[in-house]
Amino acid sequence: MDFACEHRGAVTVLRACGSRIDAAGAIQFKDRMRAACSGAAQRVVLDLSAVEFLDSSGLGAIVAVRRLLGEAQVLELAALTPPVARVFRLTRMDTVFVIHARAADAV
Amino acid sequence: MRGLPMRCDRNRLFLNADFASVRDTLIRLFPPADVLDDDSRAVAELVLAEVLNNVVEHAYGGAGGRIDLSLRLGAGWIAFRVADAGMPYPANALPDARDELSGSLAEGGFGWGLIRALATGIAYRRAGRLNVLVFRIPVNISPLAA
Repeated sequence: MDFACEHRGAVTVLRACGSRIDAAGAIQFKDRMRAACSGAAQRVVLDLSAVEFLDSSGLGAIVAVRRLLGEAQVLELAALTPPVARVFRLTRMDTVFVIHARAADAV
Repeated sequence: MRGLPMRCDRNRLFLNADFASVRDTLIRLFPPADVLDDDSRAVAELVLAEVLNNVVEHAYGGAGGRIDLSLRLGAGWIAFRVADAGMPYPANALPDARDELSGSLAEGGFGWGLIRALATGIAYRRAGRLNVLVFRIPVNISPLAA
């Protein structure tokens, strides 16, 4: 999973470029995202518009990144596709994250 | 087998118990624009992913093994049967519902909540040295395929 990184003022938008965040890729996703966040702004928006499949391991990776950022940075989400939105809704993680309809809405 | 079978016959496949094989199997079984509509396809793929990944991680404890997967497409549902020769489930039973969908920041523990929320007729039994899990996913057939 690679990320397209774009700094927009006080916000860094990281667009996930792969279509799956799953058990096979969860550790790599977490490591790469953490690295991408190291040079990012205080607000980081993860754009998930390209992601069509998210399982509980992928969700766990996103939650882990949020926790790793700690107090210094905040992780928000944008552009959830219907299958990804379903996972957030059923696990109630949609109440934990700030979720924007589009990445542009977060800027 | 690519995509789900159009008819109601039984299909069976074997896969290795590792995350990469699970991903490959899911991609093969649930291609875009298949017989299922988009929502049904996403739900079926998600539940099967959670079940198979549980086998990889818990029944086989990451040590590898074989998974025996059967599926049958009926009128408005797909029936799945997943068997493995791994460790029995704790207490030979499905996980306690209290572990589900806790809304906490736990990294794991979401899987069974998703399975229970989306599947019906979930049943587990220990058959000799095998774990056998059966469940159904309600599905709609795509207008394109009908």
